[in-house]
Amino acid sequence: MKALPMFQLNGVGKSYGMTAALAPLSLTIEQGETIALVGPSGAGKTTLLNILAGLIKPDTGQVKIEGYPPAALPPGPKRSRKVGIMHQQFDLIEQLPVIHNVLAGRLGEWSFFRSLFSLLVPQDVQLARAALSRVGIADKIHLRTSRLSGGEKQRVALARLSVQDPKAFLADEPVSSLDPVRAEDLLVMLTRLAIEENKTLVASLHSPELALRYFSRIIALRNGNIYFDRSASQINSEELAGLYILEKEAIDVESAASGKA
Amino acid sequence: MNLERESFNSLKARVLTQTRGTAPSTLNIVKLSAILSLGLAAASWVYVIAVENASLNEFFSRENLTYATGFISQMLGNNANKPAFLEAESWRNALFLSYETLQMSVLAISFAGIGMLLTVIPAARTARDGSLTLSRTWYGIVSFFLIRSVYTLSRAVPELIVAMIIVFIFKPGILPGALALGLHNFGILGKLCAEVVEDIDLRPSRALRSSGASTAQILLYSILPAAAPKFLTYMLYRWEVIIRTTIIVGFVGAAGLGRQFKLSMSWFHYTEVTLLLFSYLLLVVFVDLISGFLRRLTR
Repeated sequence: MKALPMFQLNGVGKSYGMTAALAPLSLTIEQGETIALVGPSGAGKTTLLNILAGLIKPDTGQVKIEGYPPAALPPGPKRSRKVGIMHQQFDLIEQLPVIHNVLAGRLGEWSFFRSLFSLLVPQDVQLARAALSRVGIADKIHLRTSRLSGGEKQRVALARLSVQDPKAFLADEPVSSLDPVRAEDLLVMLTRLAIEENKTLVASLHSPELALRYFSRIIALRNGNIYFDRSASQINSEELAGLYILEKEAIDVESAASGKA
Repeated sequence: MNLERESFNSLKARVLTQTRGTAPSTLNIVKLSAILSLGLAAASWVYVIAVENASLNEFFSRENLTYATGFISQMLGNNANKPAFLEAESWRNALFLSYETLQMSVLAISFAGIGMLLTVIPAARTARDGSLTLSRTWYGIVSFFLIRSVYTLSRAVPELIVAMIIVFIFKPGILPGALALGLHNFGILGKLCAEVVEDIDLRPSRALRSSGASTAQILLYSILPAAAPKFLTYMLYRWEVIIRTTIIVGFVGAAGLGRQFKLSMSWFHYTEVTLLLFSYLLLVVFVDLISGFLRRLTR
């Protein structure tokens, strides 16, 4: 029997007031795929990711997360076992030591008293240590999170995601605040972790080269529509670059028009 | 090239007219307030001297100078056969009173702090509109207004009034003073700390929610760690204020240095007053040192 698709979107659209963030679109994401969402700012990448995470309810259409509608997965362990999301920054509790930020991924599985007790005597330490050593910062386990660099903080967020252990990893521009070298480092870790543990990965990115290098399938969004959706091997880089050039020309035309007015 | 120059000039002209348009009006406000405050000061002096008939000559008179020097020399122990600040017995007594005052202040800040901690979360605006705990409820809205009005009420009544009432009901002692100070500072601490909670970055809380945490767990892992250092800073600051206010509630009968100070004044035991003032000074310095030390620990 074929496994259920991880995500299934059917005519899903979302608008904020008068502006359409996401035109109605349909999409199927199979288990174990690694997908890069690319496209210029405002193309609807974040909206799409938040819909996949069940954080935003679409205006139209149906979403199925491994066959379940999001309403059947209330916030809590039921949902956190299916999908986990990391953002570009500001995701961690700066005042707590690294270990508690990593173990926060377990909160869905823990009772209130266990999580209270864990602040005094950390629970599942082996799990946290293993996750941190996979992202290469096991030595920072007891450091205050605010003392880490931006790249290290993103690694902690990744470790938390892996401790949470959802079936699908969602990442909203996980590397946009990092310099090119650290960005590539983090993407290597993210994709390796997803592939090794057979997770579905959907990450939004700004860099077409990185998307081509590390992901199996590229979904390009523009103005809330799917611009193209193809496996990475079938895309030439000119086509990818076209995504941004077209947009740039559109902005030029727009700004020229507004300049006259 | 020519076109560029022209557009640059027009831009410059626009910027210049803009600044010319705004600059005189700000100058006028500054000028106006300077003239107004000078006028207010002059009018106040005219009122004090002409209408109230107060005389500075009278205030700085020879008579007053004699009283002042007499009082100070008596405080320093002239004419006294045994100044209190040279007696071991009165020192022991004064130190005991300082200890009592310290007890009262610690008790007061504990009352205020515990009350604040129990009520501060629903008192935050972000809890009322649901963005703090990511769930909006009707009882959240009700408890917000209820707690906020209790805060306002308890900080509106001065601690002196509360102390007078409580001492009237109970017998004088540490507890009435501590209750009065605690009640007043509960309202102040509550408001300050509710604002701390309102200012907390909510993005980490949202991340915790998406990793499956319940509301109580979010409070524990995200809100509390972010707020605790600022809570502690405010509590220590209010403790410093309380130790200074203990002397005032002492005047109306609450225990400690303040009460003894008033008694010694009315019995004309001036050397005792000196001793008590000195002990009070020591106590304030002691509390400030501890508070500063604890505050450094939170960094």
